[in-house]
Amino acid sequence: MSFRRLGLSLLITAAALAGIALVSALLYGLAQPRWRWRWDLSRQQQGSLSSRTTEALEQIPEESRCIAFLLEEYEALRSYGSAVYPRAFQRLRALLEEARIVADGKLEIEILNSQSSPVDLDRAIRDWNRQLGECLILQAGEQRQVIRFEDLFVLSLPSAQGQAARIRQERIDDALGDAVLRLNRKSLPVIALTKANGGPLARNPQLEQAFAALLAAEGYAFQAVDGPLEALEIGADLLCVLGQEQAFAPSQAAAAEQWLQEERPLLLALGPAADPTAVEFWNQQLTAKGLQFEPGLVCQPDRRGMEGSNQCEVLEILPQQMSPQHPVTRRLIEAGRTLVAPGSRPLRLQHQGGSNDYTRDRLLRSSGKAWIEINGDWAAGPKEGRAIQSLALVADRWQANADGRLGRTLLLGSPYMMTGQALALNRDFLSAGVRWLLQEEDQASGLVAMESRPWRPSYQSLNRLSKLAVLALPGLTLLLGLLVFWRRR
Amino acid sequence: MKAFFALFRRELFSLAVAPYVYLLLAIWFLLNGMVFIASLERPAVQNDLTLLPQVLFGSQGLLMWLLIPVFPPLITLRLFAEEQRLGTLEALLTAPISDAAVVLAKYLAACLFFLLFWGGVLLLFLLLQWQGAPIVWSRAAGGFLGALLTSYLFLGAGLFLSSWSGNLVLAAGGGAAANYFLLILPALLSDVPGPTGAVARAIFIPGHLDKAFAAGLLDSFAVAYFLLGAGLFVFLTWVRLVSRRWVP
Repeated sequence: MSFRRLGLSLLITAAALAGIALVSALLYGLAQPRWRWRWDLSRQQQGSLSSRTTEALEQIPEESRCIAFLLEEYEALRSYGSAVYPRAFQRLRALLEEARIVADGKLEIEILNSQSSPVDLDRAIRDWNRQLGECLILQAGEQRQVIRFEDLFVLSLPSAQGQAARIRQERIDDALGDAVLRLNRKSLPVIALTKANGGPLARNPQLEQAFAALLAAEGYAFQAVDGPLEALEIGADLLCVLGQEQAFAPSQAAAAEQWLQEERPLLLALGPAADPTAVEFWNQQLTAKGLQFEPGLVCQPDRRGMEGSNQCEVLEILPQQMSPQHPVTRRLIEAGRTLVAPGSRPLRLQHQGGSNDYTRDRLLRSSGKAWIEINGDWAAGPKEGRAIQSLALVADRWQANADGRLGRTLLLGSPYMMTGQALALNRDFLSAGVRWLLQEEDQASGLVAMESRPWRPSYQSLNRLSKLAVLALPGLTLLLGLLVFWRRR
Repeated sequence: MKAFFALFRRELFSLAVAPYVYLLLAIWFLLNGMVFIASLERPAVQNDLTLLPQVLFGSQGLLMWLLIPVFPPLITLRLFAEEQRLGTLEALLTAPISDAAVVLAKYLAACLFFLLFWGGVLLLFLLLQWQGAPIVWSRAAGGFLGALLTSYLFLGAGLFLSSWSGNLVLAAGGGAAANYFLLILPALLSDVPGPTGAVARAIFIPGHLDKAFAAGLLDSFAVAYFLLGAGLFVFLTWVRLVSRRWVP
């Protein structure tokens, strides 16, 4: 081989290598988070993380880790050809990828699924001490946050009639944002729940545990206390009084008064079974804020319009029955959330008796055909006029006091909104409410309306499609090819 | 520029009047139609039609593993390999047109022609909507774009392999092998810890379809990877063409 040919060969090789190196360098640069963008093609921009979660991820400590176990563990969620797992895992993959990009190299994400090697899977389950149902585990230093599958999605289970399970609500962004915020925080806000004076949560430890677990999953420290006095003593950030059934002792009543005077946040829910003395006490305390409890039980006709079918036991609250202006409910409306209020007492906004220092709003209301059940016949009687009834009210100061507190109060007509199945359905309302009470409403999450689109084609429809797809389209193309072949000959 | 457009038109025309291309199109439509109907018959898809783009274009689909890697090289095999076989390449290279323009005109003509292949699949979606199915177009559009970019990358690889010999079987087989190499190697290495695994995951093509395109998201890195990858193959084809002149 002559020197010239050798030189040219080397030049060609060098050019090819230079091209490969240039492309590799460009790709390396473009893979860096600061040069990486993701555009959401969906109309409502539901495919990406909210600014709250994005900001939290930007602050995440260095060398944080996240492991995702995308395992189809619950048989019920797979039966009848359910789309729950495929859809859930696709959403998780897409959003975790975005989380990885946003965290700018500070968060390492590992995804394990049923196709991962059994050795790796076993090792990860052992190393991370993973329990059944746990889907995401985040770790930063010594701190660890666990997100269960049911924290990420609200599901409807399969019916006995053969209807498959489906995803009703998606909360990936919310749950991920909360978990990262908790990892970023040195100490968590303390939420105190009074127990000494009765209520569904005080009576049933399982309900209390579920409530505590939900608050923990949302990034708060839960503390059960006897009453407001202990809440003041431990310096709780929020006091919850859910379904008080007995009046406070004088010392506790004084503490509750002090709590409100100091403009501390309060979540208060009294149902129809509440002790009248307790209702009277709270009505007096809340006069300045213009919020009042009313007697009775709110009923409304069933929205499906069946004659004589009324909702008294559980009220269904549709998005159009929520306040579109308030930060607590605005995102619920956008996400198409429906809430439930089991056994709700009516509430009243008292514009005239209240202090002008406060602003107030009605968060949730009944339908316009609701009535207050008094005589126990569970139907609208002549003395039970139909009107819109308030089911959740809020009040807060126009201006913060010297301690920066806004005296935020959220009043609910039903403590059962925070129990059992209702708690799962009202979870986003509760988390948004607590966030607002703690003056963190700017940390709005990206709730997503997860609309499933079932399409069950008839035999004729599928047959027609098959004929068009498998016969007509290829057949016509072949015919066109023959025509071209014949013309060319 | 005039010569470039003349060659581009000639390539496009020669693809449009080649009977074997219609045979390929018919097979592509037939296989796609079968995959499409099989996807629609899956209970999970019937329970939630938003899954269709993921099932069709994503990592679980036959389209990604069977059809997309195989068909682009069957289109590109004639771009250079057949010219070599017929002995017309030398005449083309001595014509008053730069080598880069030759490569680019042939590649772009193949890309434009391949839109016909995806047009048939789009027609299936339109037929589905005509039957009353509630299609999520943002996801479908993302899936189409991802699949289109993947096929453009594979057309680039096919073009490069086509420039190496006058043997059509070698050009098509080599192109398909290169495409499977691009698909499978990252899949095999993605579980390896450290930078090797990270690079493999970043260039794993079906992963981009799953996590971005079929989910209705456009990822700048994924788009850049497909375009730069295709560009690299076009550049390497040009280098190969130039080298033929210097080092036959």
